[in-house]
Amino acid sequence: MHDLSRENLNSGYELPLYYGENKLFLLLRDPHFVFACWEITGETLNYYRNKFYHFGWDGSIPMLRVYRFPKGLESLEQTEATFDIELNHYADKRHIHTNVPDKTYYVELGRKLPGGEFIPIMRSNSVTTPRDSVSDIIDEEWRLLDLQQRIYRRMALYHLSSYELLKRGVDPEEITGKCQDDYNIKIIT
Amino acid sequence: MPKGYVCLVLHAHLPYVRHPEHEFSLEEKWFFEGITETYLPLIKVFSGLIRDDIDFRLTISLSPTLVSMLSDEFLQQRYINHLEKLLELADKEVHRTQNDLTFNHLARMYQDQFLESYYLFKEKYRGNILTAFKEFQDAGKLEIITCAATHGYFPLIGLQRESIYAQAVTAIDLHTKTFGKPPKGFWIPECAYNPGDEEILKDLGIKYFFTDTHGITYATPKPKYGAYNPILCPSEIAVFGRDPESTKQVWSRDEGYPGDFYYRDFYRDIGFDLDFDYVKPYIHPDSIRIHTGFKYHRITGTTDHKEPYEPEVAMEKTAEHAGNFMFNREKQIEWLSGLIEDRPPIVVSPYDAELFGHWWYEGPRWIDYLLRKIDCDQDNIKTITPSEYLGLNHRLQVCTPCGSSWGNKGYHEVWLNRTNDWTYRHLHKAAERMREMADCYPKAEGDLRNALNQAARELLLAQASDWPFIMNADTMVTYAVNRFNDHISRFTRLYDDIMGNKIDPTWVNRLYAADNIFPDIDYRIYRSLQDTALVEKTELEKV
Repeated sequence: MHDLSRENLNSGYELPLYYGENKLFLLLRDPHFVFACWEITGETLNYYRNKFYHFGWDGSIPMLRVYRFPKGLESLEQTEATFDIELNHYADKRHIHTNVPDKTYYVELGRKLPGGEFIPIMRSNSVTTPRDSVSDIIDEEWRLLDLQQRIYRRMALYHLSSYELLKRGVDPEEITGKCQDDYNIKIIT
Repeated sequence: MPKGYVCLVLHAHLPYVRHPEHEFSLEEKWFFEGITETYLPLIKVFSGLIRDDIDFRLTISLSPTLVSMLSDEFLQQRYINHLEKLLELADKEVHRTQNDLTFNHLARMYQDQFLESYYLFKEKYRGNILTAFKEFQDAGKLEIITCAATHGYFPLIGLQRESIYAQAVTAIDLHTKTFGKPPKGFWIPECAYNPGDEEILKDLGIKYFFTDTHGITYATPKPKYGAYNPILCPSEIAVFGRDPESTKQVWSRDEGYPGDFYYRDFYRDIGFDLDFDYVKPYIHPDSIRIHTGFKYHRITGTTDHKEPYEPEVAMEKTAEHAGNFMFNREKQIEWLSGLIEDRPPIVVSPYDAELFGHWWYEGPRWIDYLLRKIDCDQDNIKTITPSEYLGLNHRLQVCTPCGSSWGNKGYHEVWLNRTNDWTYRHLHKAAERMREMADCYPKAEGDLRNALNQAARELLLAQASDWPFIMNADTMVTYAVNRFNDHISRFTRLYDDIMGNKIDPTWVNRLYAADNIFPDIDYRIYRSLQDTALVEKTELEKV
């Protein structure tokens, strides 16, 4: 028998608005964007307000500081670059244009005091953006001869089927000259 | 000895849509259309090939949500009711068109198909067509692989590694029980790969998975043979990459085979064309016109003008396109085999199964013709499964694939953008809470255990990649949002009740009746990974 009634199956529960915690996490979107999402409690904000009240906390601006590292490295000493994103007071998520693929990122959420000093409150997990091109690292044992380079050149022209190439009288050997480099492989959409 | 191999892969998946509370639901209709238009036609094709002693190989991933629905007796009975309704309409259509030479043979064509479907589903397979797929597997023609339990999108739910483990182990468990042996391959939902996720699959006994083309071509170090030979992750699990050329020939909206003007048009349907009172019993109970499945026109062109469908002409086109595909693969492999000297190249061509039959009406017949032609008409190429190819024992290059997906733009934006990004704070919080509960109650029994198991089901259902996908596609958005909200809300109350020691067993039972997927689930799959992995690995090795 199937209970056909779903009356009040959620028993009054709805999607929570907040979870009452301090949380900041990063998700990877693509080679050029990451996504940050956060929640910060009133208690935490009050703590910082009391601590920095005399430094102009009430006039401070919420801010994300984005740290970029060589892939796989996370210690602050090895930061390649940082940049800041000013936020409005109600923001709780942000798609961040990180721009450089194949790098590791994390962000800090905090406030910029009127004097310009950044007060970090939370730090996120780190994520590594994927490549958007072929790797320039070659395994010696699997060195690509010119023969295999043609596979990549051919794949860059995949919009032409083998039959279409033949019909055009294009010999695979000629394809070599039609591609400027190996970085032309397109992403399938 | 062939010069190279073609590996056809179909990914069959639908979200878990089971609504006993409604007499009719559009979402269950997706499932019924999938059976009528894709799964049964594929079964007919595979049966015919085996009957005619055609040597073929095909790989199919049957998602755990689909497997669960196909084995659900309630949905099986509902599908029979659905088919009986279609047969009733077929009778009326044959009668209505009896003096119309243009359309009567089409009405009879559908009537014959639905009658055959009815026989196959109800009589031959007794409501459970999974037995057919198992037969093809046991005959050595079909390699069935699995997918994540509810099609969770690994790169976006993987902050809690336990979520990936739970999605994978639940899927592998259901697959093993359903098909009699554990899967060798794993279809990562949406081919969405994040380096490191494969280690969990490897620990669970998976030998290979797939990525989109650039998952391989952008791998590090640069793979010597591009996407035409599998690579080996550092964790020793093989990865096959999608071939872009054969993808385009079938998928391309503009130039792909399914868009041929002689093929049947998907959108023109008597549900929209005929008198309202006539079609009323067969459309939405709220009097909304919908597809009935009776489609009498061909694509014809790019305008709204549609000519009547001519099955014989379409059949000729199907044979022509199958021949074209094979010819292109022969030429492609001939060229590749000149560049890859120490092993035969493999061209991997994965597609959504529902493209064949549902969207592309002639698709199953195209597969039929293609597999027959490859076996009978030439010796240069053969079809193969990934397992068989790995069994050739060529040494594979060790590379780390590139993070990627087969979605639009090649990464994760379809599932993470302004239409759906709000879901992830809830998913991650729920996953954290599930792990917390599993660690807190390592040996729960009775009502507590039932509540914990139901919490695991609600979390899995909330994690389906279908919800953010639908939100992004901007169709049926309300359904996706409601489903997501329902599962998170139910999970949240379960969490409050469990941690507050105030479980209501009656309500938990009602929830299970509504969201009854994975009856054998054990909530302990969410225990913190370092503990869970060892226990489950031991169990898996016994299997």
